[in-house]
Amino acid sequence: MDATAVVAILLVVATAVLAALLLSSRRERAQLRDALEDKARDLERLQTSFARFAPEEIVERIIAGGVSTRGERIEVTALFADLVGFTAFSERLEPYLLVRILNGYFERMSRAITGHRGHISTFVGDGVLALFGALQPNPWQADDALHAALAMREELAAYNNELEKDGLPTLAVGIGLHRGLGVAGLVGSRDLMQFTLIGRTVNLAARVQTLTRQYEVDILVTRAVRDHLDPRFTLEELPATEVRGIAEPVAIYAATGFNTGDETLSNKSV
Amino acid sequence: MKALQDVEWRDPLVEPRSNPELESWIRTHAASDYPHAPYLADCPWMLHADAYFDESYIYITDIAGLIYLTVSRDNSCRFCYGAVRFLMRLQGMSESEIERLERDIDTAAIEPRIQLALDFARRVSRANPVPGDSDKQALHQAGYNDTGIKEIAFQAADVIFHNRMSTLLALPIGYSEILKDKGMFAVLREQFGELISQILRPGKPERLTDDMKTGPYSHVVVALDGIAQARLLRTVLDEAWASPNLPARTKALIFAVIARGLGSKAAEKESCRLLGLQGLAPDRVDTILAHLAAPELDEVETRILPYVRDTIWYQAPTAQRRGRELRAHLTNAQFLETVGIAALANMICRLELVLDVA
Repeated sequence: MDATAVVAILLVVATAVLAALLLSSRRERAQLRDALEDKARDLERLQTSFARFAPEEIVERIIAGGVSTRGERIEVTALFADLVGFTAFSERLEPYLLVRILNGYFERMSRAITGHRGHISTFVGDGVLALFGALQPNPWQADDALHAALAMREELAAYNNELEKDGLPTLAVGIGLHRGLGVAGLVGSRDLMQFTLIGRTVNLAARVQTLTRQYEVDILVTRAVRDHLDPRFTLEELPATEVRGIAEPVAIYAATGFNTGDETLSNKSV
Repeated sequence: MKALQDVEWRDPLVEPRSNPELESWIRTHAASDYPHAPYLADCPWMLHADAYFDESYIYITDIAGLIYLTVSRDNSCRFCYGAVRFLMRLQGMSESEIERLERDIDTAAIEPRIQLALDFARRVSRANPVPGDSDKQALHQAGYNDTGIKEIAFQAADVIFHNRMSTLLALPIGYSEILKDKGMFAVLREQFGELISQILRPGKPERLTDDMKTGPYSHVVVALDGIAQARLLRTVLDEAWASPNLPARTKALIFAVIARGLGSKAAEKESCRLLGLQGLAPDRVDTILAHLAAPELDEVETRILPYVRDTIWYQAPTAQRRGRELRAHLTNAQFLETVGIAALANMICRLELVLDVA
């Protein structure tokens, strides 16, 4: 074998080795790219799932800047809703039925709240705390909150019809609304955090909600809410009432509906 | 960041029409053939604005595309996202290079100076809260001068305009499907890129003339003086105001609602002045803005005002659903102009919040 042939063979072998290396590196890059894309898809799926536990805006904020415990003092309208006589009700029902009824109730209430630009801050047992103006500034928050409360009334009436048809007990709700300042932010321990509002606004909404039993109405608003409401809402003034933790009696109003001009509706989508 | 292909995007909310005058304008004035032009045929100023603002794109070529990409993804605008990817590929980038760039933006793996500009643009768009003096200071420290900051703010606001127009009308998504890395394009991509950058070489921006410093919302136009986009914005505002599809009063009311929602005090005051010229006293404007309703509003305004407040922050499917409800009560031209004016108002009010407005 002469030198030229040896060189030629070596060249062929070198080319083959190089080609094999190139192919292998290409395959490796493709595998890495696929793995990266899989991770990106996993992340998107995680984000979608996470959005069920926290508002999308909060998820985005956490992704963009990590968990910030910095709070913001903002003006919000808090809506607190609680089922009337739920404890006795829950003791009479089979657990699976109780969970089914409650989930149906929460589903409908959530729809009414988010449909009017509110967000659910938390579920406390059978109670719901919703906030308006907490995630984004909202000068129309009082109107939105009361429209949501009226929509909740409508949703509950429809749900009760369904429950009745199935031979199940019906539900009654009490809703309290108050507007004021609060500190909004992510609150909790390292293991469990939630975006919520801290301050008297939420407490007062919850306390006013308890007064619905006393006055046998379903929706009560404070003067701070009433002062910002569209005059087309129809309200009935009730006697100012002592509320635990508040020095002065609280002026409260029962919401009866919304007057569109032609008729008074208890709910209107705006 | 949510995958854009998962964002629900329904049929367009407006009908495509033929407008020979607009088609001729595109042939003589625009750099692209604008395949969505028939959808804007009843409201030519919107297509003109599209073209003018695209023209402004050339002045900040190093980061304009990235701002467009970032803000469009942030606003879940499938149309604009597709369009900017199309442009990036025309400028010579491959599909995989764009994907890598997106990953780098998401993981903050790009140059810190550019990342800072993108974060600023994203915050202009989100306006919750708006970027403050400390953010501008950080941009200064990273080497951007006042003109550069104005350009970044304008570019973000431009995307806000385009995103709203495309998303609220659900313009058909098509750009991203036009070019694939195949055949001649794969071979000539870089040559295409060079050609495009030759064509898109910017000239020196001209200052505003005195007559350009007046007119609706001139406070924002004047604050942009010194960058080329100031003149373009003045032209767009004047054309929008002269368009006959909605009365001037309705347009000023749309601006006022968005200004109130975003807390843009000067834009609200300007809207109040314009409404005063139409016979609405300031106390009546305040009443209207408090509840987006009042006896003096006509039927169209009564329907439009609650809708436009939802153009400030929105999720694309909800915005398109609400738009469809409104569309059923308006003519094609009225609905188009409502969306166009709302898009412009979102742009102007956000710019006011980040610029040094006199």
